Amino acid sequence: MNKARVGLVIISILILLTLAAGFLSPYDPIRQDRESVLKSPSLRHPLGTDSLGRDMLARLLYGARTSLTIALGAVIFMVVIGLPIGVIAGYFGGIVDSVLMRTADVFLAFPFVLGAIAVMTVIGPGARNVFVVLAIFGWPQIARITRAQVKNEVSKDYIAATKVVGGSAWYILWRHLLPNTLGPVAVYSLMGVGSVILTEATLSFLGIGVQLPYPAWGSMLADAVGRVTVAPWLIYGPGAAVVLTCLGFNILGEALHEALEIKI
Amino acid sequence: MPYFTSNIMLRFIIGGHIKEYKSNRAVSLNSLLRTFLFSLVAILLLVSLSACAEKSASKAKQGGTFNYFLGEPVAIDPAFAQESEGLQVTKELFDGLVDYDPETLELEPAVARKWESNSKGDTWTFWLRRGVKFHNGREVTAADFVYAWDRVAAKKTGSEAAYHLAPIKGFDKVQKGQRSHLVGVSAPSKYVLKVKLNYPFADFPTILGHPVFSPVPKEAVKARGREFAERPVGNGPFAIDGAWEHRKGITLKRFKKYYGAKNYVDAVNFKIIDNDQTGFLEFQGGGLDYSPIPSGQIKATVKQFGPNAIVGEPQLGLQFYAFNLRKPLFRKNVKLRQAINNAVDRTAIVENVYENAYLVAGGIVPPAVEGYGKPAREYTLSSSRAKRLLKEAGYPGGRGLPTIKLIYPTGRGYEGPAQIFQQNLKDIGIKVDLEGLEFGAFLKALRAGKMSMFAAGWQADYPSPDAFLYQLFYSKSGDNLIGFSDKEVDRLLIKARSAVGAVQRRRLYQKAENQILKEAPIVPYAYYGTSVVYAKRVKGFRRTALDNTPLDRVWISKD
Amino acid sequence: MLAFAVRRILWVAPILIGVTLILFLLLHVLPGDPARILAGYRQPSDQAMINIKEKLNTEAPLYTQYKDYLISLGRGDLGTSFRNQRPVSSIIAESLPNSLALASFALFLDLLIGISAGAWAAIRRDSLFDRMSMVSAAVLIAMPVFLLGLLLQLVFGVRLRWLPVSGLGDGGLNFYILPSLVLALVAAAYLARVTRSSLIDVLSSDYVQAARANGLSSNRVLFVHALKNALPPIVTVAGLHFGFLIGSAVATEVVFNWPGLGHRLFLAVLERDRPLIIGAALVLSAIFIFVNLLVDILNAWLNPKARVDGKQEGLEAKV
Repeated sequence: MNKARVGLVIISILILLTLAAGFLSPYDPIRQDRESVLKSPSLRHPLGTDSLGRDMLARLLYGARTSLTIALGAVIFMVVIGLPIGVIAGYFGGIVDSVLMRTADVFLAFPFVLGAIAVMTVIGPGARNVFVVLAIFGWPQIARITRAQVKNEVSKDYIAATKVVGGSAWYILWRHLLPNTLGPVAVYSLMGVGSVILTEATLSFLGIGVQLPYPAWGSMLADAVGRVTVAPWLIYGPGAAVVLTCLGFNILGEALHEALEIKI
Repeated sequence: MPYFTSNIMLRFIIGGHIKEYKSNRAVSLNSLLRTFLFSLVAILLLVSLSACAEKSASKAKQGGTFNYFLGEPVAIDPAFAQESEGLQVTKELFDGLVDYDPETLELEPAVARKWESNSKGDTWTFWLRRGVKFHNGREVTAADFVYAWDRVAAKKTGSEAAYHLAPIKGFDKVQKGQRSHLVGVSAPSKYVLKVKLNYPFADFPTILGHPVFSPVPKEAVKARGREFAERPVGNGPFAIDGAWEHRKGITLKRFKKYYGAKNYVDAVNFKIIDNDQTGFLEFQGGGLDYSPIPSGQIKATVKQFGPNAIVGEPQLGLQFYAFNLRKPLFRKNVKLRQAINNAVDRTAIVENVYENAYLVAGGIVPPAVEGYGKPAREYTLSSSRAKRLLKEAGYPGGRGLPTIKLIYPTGRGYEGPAQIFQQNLKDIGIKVDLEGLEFGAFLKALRAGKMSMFAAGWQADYPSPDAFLYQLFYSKSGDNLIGFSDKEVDRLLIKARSAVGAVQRRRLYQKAENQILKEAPIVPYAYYGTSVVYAKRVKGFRRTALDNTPLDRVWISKD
Repeated sequence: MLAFAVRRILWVAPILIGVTLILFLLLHVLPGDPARILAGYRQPSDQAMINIKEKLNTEAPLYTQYKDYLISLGRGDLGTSFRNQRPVSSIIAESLPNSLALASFALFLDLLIGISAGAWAAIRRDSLFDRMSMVSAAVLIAMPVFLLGLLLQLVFGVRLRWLPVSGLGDGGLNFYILPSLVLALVAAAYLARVTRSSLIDVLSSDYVQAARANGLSSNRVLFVHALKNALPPIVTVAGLHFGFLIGSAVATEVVFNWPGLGHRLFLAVLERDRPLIIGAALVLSAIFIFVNLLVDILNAWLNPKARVDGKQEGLEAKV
C-alpha cells in the first residue's frame, strides 16, 4: 500500500500544480519578453526563460494542463473503444471474436508514425487531435486485455450456472463480465498514461504536435533538445515533469496490480 | 530552387557566401604614413613569427578526402536537380556554359569562353572552349548542349526543373510532346551554340549558371538508361565514384582530365544525413568536415569554432508573410497591410530566433544581389505609425478586425518568427491565430486559400533582382502565389527584362520594388544568411550566396 | 494444436490485405500531391504537372489503383518510388537488413541486461542494487527515445569520442552500440521488472523453500528451479520483444540517421512517396504479424492453456 500512496501523492501534487498554475506563476506562459531571452534559472525565473523570453515555470505549469488533458483524454478514448470490443469478442467468441481481434491486429501491426502523421494531417493539428490519434492506435491493447479477461471468466462455472437459470447475455455481460475486466483495464490504463505523454513528446519531436504558442511538455522537450548544449535548463523542467508523471502513474498502476493480484 | 529545400526534418534553409580576401583598395594619400608604419610593424611581426614558429601559412596541399554533410538530394542528374542538396553535387559533376564567381556572383566563363546577344536581346550566341572533356573521355561540343536541353524540356522526361527553359523558343511545344526538339536552340558549328528566345531577356546568360543547363553525353544516357540518374557522366571537376548510395552517401573523385584549374582534394565524401541535429553532432564527433549549424546553437558554435563558423553572410533568399489577397479584407485595404508591416519587430526575429545568422529585411531584393544596393523603401518597426495606419485603415486599436489566421509549414524553422509576429500584432490590438501544418497539408491549405496570411521562404535560382521581383510579383508569373497584380509593376518589370544597359535595368527594378513595397502585399522580415561551420583541417573553404560550397580551392591540411 | 496453428496462419493474408486497404484509404485522404511536394511550393506549370503526373501514374481512380496494386502485389511487384523511380523492392532490400540487424543486436542487449539485472535485483532484494536498478528502470521507461539518444550521442560520440555518433559507416560493430542500446534499454527496463517480480514469486514459493531446506546450493536453486519457472519460455519473451523493437525503431533510426526501413518509411510519409509508404508499411506489418504469430503458436505448443491469447506484458510500441 506504500506504493499506492507514493503514486497518489505524485499525481495529486501534479493536479494541484496544474489547477493552481495561475497563482504559482506571475507570468503569462505565452507572453514574450525581449529583455530576458534564454536566461538561466534565477530568483525571477526559477526555471529560466526560453529563446523567446518566456518564463519556463509558467510554461511548465500551463503545459501540464495540455499534457494531462491529452494523456487522460487519450486513455479514456482508448477504453471507450477498446472495452466494448474486447467484451463482445470475448463473450461471443467464434467468428465475431476472430474478426474483431484480427481487426485489432491490423491496427497493432500498422506502423504508428505513419498513422499518426496521416491522421494529424487529415484532421489538422492541435491538442484535441493528438489524443484522437493516440486513441485510434491504442484501443487494440485494451481490447486484447479485456477479451482475455472475459474469456477467462466465461469459462468459469458460475457463468454457465447463470445461463442455465436463464440470465440474459446482457445481464451476464453487465453484472459479471464487465466488473471483472475493470481491474486489469484500470491497471493498464494507468500505466498507459505515462506512455501517452511520451508519445506526445515524440510526435512533437517529429514535428506534428500541439498548436503554438501554447505550451505542452512534449513540445517543450522537443524544443529543448535542440539547445541542450547551449541552454540545458530548458530540459530540466519538462524532462523532470514527464519522468515524474510517468513514474507516478506507473507506480499507482503497479500498486493496483499488486492489490488486485491480477496478471495482465 | 523551390521555396523550401527538400530536406524536410528540422532543417531551415541555410547557406550564404564568404568574402575571404577583403582587399583594401581605398587607400587615400593622407594615410600613407600610417600605411608605412603599419608595414614596418607587420614586417617585424612576420620576421619574429617565422623565426619562432613553424611555417604558419603553409602552402595548399594536394590530396585528402573532404567529408561533407548533405541531405538526401532529390536528384543528381542535371535534368532533375533543383534543390540545394542536388545542386551541390550536380555543380561538381557538371560544368555549364557559364558559372558564377563564388565571391561576387558575377558571371564568368566556363564551357563557353564568350557570348553576345543581338541588339534586341532575344538571340544569343555562345562560343565554346575546345578540349573540354566528359568523364568518359569524349570532347564536349555544342551538340551536347542541344541534346541536353531537349532532354530537359521533353514531355516524357517529366522534369520538375524544366521551367528554367521557358524563355527558349519552342519550349511549350516540346513540353506538350508535340515536338522533340527546341526550335530555338541550334549548333551552327561544333563550338558555336545559338539560342533564340521568346522575348528579349538581358539577364539570360545569368540563368545559364543553373546546373539544369549542363551538357550531358547522349551515348551515356542511352547506354545507362535509368542508371544515369544514379551514376551520371558529367564534365565537371569531379566524377562520381561508384553509384549513389541512397540515404547513405555519394563519393566523388577528382577528374584528372578536367579543363580548368586542378582541384586540391582527391575525393569528396558526401555523407547523407536527414537531420540537422544529428549531422551537427556527427561534425562535433569528428566524422564530418562541414556541417550547417542547427538553429539555436549558432552563437555557441561561433564561440567554439571562431572563424571556422561562417555566420551572417547574406544569401539569395527572403522570408516573408504574404497576405491572402483573394480576401477582400486585405485586397481592398492597403493601409491595413502597411500597418502590419510597420508593427513587426524584425530585429527581434533576427536576433532571438536566427541569432543574427539571418539579416533584417525591410525590402525584397537581398543585399547579396551584387550591385543592386539597398532596397528603395524599407519597413521598420514603429508602433506609433502602425497604430496610426491601423486607425486610418478603419480599425482603430484593432477594433472590428477579425482574427487573422497565419499558416506555416512545421519543422522548417518558421515557428519562432511566427510567435514573435503574433506577439507584435497583439501589441497593436490585432489577434493572430497560428496554424502549423505538415508540408503537404500546408500546400493544400494554400491552394484552398482559407487562411488570411501564410509564411513563405523564397530562395532565388539566380543572382538577379528578376529572380525576386518578376517571379514573385509579376501578375502572370507562375510563382506569384500571393495573387499580386499591379499594372505599373508589370510594366516596369517587362521593361527591365528587356533593358540591355545594366544601370538602366537596375533603376527599373528599383522602381518596381518601390511600387511593390508601397502596395505592401507581403511582410518581408528576414534575408537568409549563412550559418555553417567547417573543420580546422579544412582550408580555402568558401560558401556562396547561392547556398553552395565550391570545392575548387578547398584543401585538407594534415594537422 | 495443429488446427490452432493453421487457423492463425490462414488469418495472415486477410490481415495484410486489411493493412493495404487502410493504407490506401489513408493515403487517399492525406493531403499533398507528391509532385507538388517535390517542387516545394514553387508552382509547376499546368503542363509540367501533367507530365509529372503521367510519369508517376497517379491519375487513375482509387479503386483501379487499389486493384492494380493488389494484382501486381500478387506478382511480387511493389512498384517504383515516386521520388526517384527506383523499385520499392530494392529500397526495401537495402534498408530492411539494417533494421533487422539493429533489432537483433538490440534484442541481445535487451535479454542480457533485462534478465541479469532483474534476476540480480530479485536475489538481492531490497539491496542498494535492487533499489537503484528499479529506479533507473522506471526512469528509462519514462524517458523519450530522442532525449536518451541525444544524451548518449553527446557523451560517447562528441565528448569522449569512443563511439561513432550516427549512421552505419562501414557496418562495423561500433556503429551498432549506441542505437541498439537506446532501443534495448527501454525494453530491458520492462524485462528487468517482470523478471524481478516473477522471480520473487517463485523464490518465495513452497517448492523452492523445500529445495533449499533439502540443502541444495542457492545457485542451483536459482538456475535450475527458480529461473526456469519464473521466466515464460525465453522464445516467447524474445519474440514479443523483437516485434516491439522493430515497431518502435522509427524514432531511434531517425535520431541516429540509421539507414533502416523505419527511417525510410518516416521520410516517405513526409514526401508522400506513396509506393514506398505502402511497400515499407506492408513489410513492417508483415514482420510484426509474423513474429506475433510465431509467438502465439509457440506459446500454444509450450503451454496449451495459454491458447486463449498470447500474453503481453505491458510493452507497447511507442512510435
